Amino acid sequence: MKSVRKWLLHPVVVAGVVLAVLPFVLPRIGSSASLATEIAIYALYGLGFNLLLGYTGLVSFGASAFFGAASYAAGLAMLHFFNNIYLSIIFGTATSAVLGLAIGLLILRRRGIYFSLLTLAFTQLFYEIAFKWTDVTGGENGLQGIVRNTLVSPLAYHYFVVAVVLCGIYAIWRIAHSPFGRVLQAIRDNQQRVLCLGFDTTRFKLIAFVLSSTFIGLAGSLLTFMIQSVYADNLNWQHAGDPVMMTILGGIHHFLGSTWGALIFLTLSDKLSSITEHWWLVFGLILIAFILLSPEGVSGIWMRLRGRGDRWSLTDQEIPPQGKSVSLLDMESVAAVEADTPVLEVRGLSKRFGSLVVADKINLTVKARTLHSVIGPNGAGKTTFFNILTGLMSHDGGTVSFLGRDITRMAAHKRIDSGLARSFQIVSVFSHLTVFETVRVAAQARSPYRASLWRDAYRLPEVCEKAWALLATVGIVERAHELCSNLAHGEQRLLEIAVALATNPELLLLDEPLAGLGDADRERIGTLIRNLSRHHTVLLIEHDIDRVLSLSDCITVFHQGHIIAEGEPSRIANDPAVLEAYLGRHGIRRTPSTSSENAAQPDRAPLLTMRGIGAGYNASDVLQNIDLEVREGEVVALLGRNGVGKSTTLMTIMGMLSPSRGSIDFAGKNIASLPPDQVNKCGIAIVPEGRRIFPNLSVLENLALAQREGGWPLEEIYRLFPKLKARQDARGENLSGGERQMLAIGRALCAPQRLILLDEPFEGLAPSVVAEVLAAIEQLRHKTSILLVEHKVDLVLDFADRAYIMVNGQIVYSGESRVLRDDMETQTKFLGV
Amino acid sequence: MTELIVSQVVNGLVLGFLYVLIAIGLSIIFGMLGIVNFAHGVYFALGAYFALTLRDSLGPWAIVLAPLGVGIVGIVIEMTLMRPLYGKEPLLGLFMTFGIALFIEELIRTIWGAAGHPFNPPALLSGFIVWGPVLVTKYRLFVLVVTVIILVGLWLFLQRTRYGRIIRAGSRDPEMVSMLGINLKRVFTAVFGLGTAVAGIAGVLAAPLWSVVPSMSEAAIMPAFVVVTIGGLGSFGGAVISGLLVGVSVALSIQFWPAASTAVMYALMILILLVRPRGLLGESWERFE
Repeated sequence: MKSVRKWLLHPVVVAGVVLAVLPFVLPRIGSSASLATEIAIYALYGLGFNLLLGYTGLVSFGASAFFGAASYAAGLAMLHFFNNIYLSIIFGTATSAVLGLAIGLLILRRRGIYFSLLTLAFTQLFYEIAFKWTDVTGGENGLQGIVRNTLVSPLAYHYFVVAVVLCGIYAIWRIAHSPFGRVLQAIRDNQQRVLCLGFDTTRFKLIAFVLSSTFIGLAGSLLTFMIQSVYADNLNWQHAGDPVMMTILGGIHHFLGSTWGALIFLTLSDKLSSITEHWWLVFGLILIAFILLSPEGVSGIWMRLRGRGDRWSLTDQEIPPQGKSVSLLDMESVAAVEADTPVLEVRGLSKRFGSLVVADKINLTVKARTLHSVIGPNGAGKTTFFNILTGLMSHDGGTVSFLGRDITRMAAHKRIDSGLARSFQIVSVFSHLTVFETVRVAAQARSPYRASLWRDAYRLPEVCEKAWALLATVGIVERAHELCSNLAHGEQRLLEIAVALATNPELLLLDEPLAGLGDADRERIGTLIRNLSRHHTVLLIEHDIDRVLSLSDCITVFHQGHIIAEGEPSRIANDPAVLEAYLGRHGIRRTPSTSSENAAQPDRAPLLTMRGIGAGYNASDVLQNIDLEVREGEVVALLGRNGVGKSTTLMTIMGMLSPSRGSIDFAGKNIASLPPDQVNKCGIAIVPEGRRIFPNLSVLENLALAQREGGWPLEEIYRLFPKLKARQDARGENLSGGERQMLAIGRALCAPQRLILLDEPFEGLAPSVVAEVLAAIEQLRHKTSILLVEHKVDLVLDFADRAYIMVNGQIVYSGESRVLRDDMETQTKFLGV
Repeated sequence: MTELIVSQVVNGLVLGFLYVLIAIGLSIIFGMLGIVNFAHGVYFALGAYFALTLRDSLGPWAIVLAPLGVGIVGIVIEMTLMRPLYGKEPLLGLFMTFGIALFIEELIRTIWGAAGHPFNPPALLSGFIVWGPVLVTKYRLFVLVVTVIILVGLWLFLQRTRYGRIIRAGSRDPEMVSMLGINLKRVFTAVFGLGTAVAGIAGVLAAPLWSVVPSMSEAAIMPAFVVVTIGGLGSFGGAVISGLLVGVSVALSIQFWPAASTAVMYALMILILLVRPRGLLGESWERFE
């Protein structure tokens, strides 16, 4: 019984029933029966459009161009070539498909807004041609004299149209559930990730574009014979919005959305236009109301009434059953390469961004079935290195060879095909897909049916089994039904690894797989990675030095774009060059007198107090229960390795991130829920990570922008940073790293402030510049309080009054900095190598 | 023949500067808010219609008050309809401006009727001027001069004033602007008001040149898109160059291939975007790609 019910509720059946009875229902509400045919046609039109919008995420204004072009083609075919409805309809559809191919080839290389505007240009171009080329198109009068010589009665034609439309709807349903359609939906959510799975995303989008134009063309051809004429009107700018409106009214992310949208749109316009000629007023208001109140249209309202909230219904919700026993991934079979042979060889790789050298003639070799880790302080160039290896970023010299082949010029998706896989530092999954689907679409990349348009993707047994096996291997089988965006942070990291594993890679590039995780998760994932390295080759970027030391076979240390050390963990742990890079022991010493002076101060009044703060991005908290205090006139250091949450803490104070719990008090005022501009007005200024000076403004303009009454006057800032005065008129983008840092600090001083947040002010600076900046900051200490985030421990401990250390989103140490300075054990434990 | 071409080029420059004026408002809004304002054309039309209505009662003051009125309408719309959508899916903002365009154009049709209204330039500015081979109407010359003044004024505003600085900085890093104590919401509203008011000025100026009909909004929005895209999203100089390019192309084709005169700009846009994907002077901003 259940399957019968399911069959009856199948969207295609529902649509069929509705469209079939419509000619009898409509006259009862005062509309003509032929409106039903129009509704059927527009339902297909809208669904064809939504194939691009809801499924692929492409906003195309070209739908009406194809709709109109096909109408004309079908009409012209009838008048001049065939005198046969069926052939003319086929001709119209084919014309639309060919146009789709031609236009798609031209414009799909462009992304985002440029793509959309190009489609708009084409629509307008077609309209102009249709309107002006009177000889062929009849111009303003359109094509006349088209006679429907078969299916003459309106009702007969209606059922013909319904039959054709239902076929079209069914075809789109199949496509949506096919391997091809599944990839489209992944592209919508995260195109780059799909590319990194080895799919040629441009080709997929092109095929989607052609399919969309084909279905739209079919609808347009059907329209020609319904009204037995063709007008240029359907191509004009206002009608370009028809499919948009229908889809919004009905629901962009729901399969039958455009059907309901067509029904509402056409019926409403029919009824309203008989009441008033200004029915667009009502329509415009309805549209606006829907966008504000129910962005998923009537389908959204229906979903909410059924208690299913914001879930989409673009495809069948259910995922295939798990199967009785779920085996772990059979990894033995993957090991194809002999141990100890080089899998990856990088020679002389270089990359610069303007004057900033991110990679300087890097030489690296990774041997098969080893766990090779890349470590280094922030800004050392590690993620850029990965981006170059995977082909996401270009480089300025050097070669990369993988398994003996030179892949230096290979396109990104081809590299993946050849056995390279990658996970991302910032979790990069498909927010609107389920966990199961995410892994499955990754596993699909290796299947011969990966671009099939007709099969049901959930009926590819090897792919589905593999997906379950992957989920079991990383340990998130129970979460298979969840949407990726609802996973906790640790689970998302596991998912990342599952996705990377799915393509049977020889080499796994894992970019900070442990970032933001608690101890238990780290243990779990660390062990998983170690196990993986028995059968795969793993190249790992991480900041969790303890784990890196215990897991790795070989470690390479990056620093400012160079490799400063390489070898076995035991050697690296004691290498003085490495210690220096991490702990910043490069001998820049301050006069000790000032620090002892501060040590003698009695307790000062608290200025900033954070209590029990939890905060994070998406579903999970990165900060757990932070208690932190900065007192009047103090310099407080916030230390910790990368990825522990130091910058997140500063962003939370600044109001860029809203804390999920806890309180932040500043000078007696609760600032936890204030937006950034008000936090700044309360007296907190920030010198953010990366400086974030405005590249298109000059030095003077950058400062002037921040200037407010009560802040430092310009001359004083120039006295602090003479270099800035010399470069007054230089544009921000032309400044050196040191100059940018000085500008960022100066900018923070321009407004009245009692607390300055400094986020890694010495990052990426040469030692002499560091000394300069440090000297400047020292002059600030008597004028304002400072909360300083750094990982160059030595430098900061001499300078600060108190220090906190963070590990994995929690404060693990709090005390006076001179105490910490002498406590090498604690330093090494939490901060060092 | 040369006289014809020269005259048309001059007309093309006038048309071009008008296009630039419309496009600049669109570009500023786009640069700061990241929104493609599909309703930009109706603000242009509103400028013309407001001027039409106010002219009888207020005479020359209509020219100043009409754009101001448009700016106020823009501000109200931004605060009520667009602000709730910031931070949500960008698609929604796009569709919202589309809905606003539909609604307001129909509102115009309802209030002022669908028929065109003639709008004669003031007596002072009617008539011709002859300069050697060039024949141009006084009004067109006036439009040329006024648009240049306004564009220069806008440029100075962006480059020399505090608000201009905020707008320029905000188009690159709006978050940082807010961390410097500047209320972004208010800036967005002000920018939107400025952009729409500029469109309104263009509408007032264009009223005697194009007839005042509800569909004039389309006649404005499409060239605006073309100009902004060819010139490069967010580039002031780009908008000027491409506006003039498009204006002259259209004027010349009106003379020599009238049927294709409107199609020419789309063909130009497609061509340029294919060769230079970010337009002539567009910069690579990750925000928009």
